[in-house]
Amino acid sequence: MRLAASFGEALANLRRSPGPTLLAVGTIAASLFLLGGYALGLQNLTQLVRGVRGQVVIAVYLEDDADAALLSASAGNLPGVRSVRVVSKEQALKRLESSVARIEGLIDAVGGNPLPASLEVVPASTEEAAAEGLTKILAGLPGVSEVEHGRDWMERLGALVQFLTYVGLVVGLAVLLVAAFVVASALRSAVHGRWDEIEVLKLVGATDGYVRSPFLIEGGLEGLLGAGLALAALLAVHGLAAPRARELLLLAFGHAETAFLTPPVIGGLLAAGMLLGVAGSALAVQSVLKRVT
Amino acid sequence: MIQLFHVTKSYDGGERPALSEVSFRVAKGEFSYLTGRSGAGKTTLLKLLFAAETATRGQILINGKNTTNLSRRHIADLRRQIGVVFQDFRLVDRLTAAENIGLAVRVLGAGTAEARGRAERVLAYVGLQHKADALPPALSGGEQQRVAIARALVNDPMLLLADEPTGNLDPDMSLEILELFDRTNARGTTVVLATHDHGLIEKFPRSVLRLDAGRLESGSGES
Repeated sequence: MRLAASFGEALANLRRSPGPTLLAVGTIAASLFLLGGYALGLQNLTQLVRGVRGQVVIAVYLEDDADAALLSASAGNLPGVRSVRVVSKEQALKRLESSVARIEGLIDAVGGNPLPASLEVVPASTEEAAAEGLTKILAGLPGVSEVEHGRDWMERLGALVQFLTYVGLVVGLAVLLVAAFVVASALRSAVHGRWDEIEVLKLVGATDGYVRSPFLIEGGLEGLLGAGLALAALLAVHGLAAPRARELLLLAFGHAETAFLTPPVIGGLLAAGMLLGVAGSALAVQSVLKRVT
Repeated sequence: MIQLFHVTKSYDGGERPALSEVSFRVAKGEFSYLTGRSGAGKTTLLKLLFAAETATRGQILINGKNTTNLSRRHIADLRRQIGVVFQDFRLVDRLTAAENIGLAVRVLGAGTAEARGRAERVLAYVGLQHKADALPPALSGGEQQRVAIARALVNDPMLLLADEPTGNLDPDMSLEILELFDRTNARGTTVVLATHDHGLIEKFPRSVLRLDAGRLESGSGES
């Protein structure tokens, strides 16, 4: 009964004071758009790292006199190898020419094709330890000059994702805190506009909780509305930006998957919006309650 | 019903205590005037009775319970048993007369329909059954005060406190309001009414507690 009445009062108050309500909803929407945008970027970066890890290729560079076919067969028989592909000196040069313009003169200047033939070995497992073990074995094969599997680069990217996650948590918390105070200050004018009613309620025996509850419900509804707006804006931005981002990723990493926020993150943003609204309202109403005896 | 024992109330920066060593008792069902010039301490004394202020020293008992240092929760409980009326009515202008009265009913957990029903009954008691849906600004001063009294009475309080309830009203309307307090007292409600209008006291003679510069000059002594 009381909850239904509080809901009714909260909805009536939203209609009565649209100005502060819009400001509060806008602040919540803007804060959550920033946080959600960050989360969306981070989520896709994490997905990219996972995807690229899944297609790790160990490059085995061969000495000029090595028998590529024999080494390919030897490598293919090693445990933990999914596939082996031979890249001849000529194929390596063609690849370089297709990615770097005006290279012909440079090749002539160094006296012919300087690129070695190589094997592209795809490990069966994407585990770091397995790839590292395989790299050591491949490096020990006769006729192999150098082996690369891009582990350092992957480790750096993984560390960057972890760092960005921590930064996101700290900055996100700070943004939420600032937003709560902005929302509180926006709602304060709405609460002060009902000072007379709060005074009367206290006079006739209302507890602080009774006075507070419709304001908290009102704040929660505003928070949900703000979060909904932020998610709608993020969905629109994602819809516009995702195709272009996929093109770029494909070009840069040979891997292109983008996704919108996962359901738990969407739920988290809605909860954060509600929490922001409730916290802002609680701060606003407390500023009046402590002055009403 | 009310017992005060050596109650002193001082405010920060005040030259002298607003109330000094005040002791008296008001029996259950009694009607007492609280008189004195402006600044004598009438409003402070009423505020102490409904726990809007706390005494600096001394003890206050309402219906046998010590109310000197109550928590906010217990203050709310106390106020549900006390009706308070002010000179400036303290009505919420954007709510109708019935809704203003309903605030006091809903605080007790009643729903909208019950609050409306009880508001209509008490409005009939104060003679304003036809004004249930009127907003306070559309009512005369006397009508607003009757709505405020209705709000104070809607939960059948054991004690009715009034701070200069006729201060903003003309003499005829003041008499009507006093008759309403008298009728309420006749039903068993203890009434303490602060006023400096001696004409009213003469027309409705009752026991008088007279304050002067924060001290009780005459009235019911400490038992």
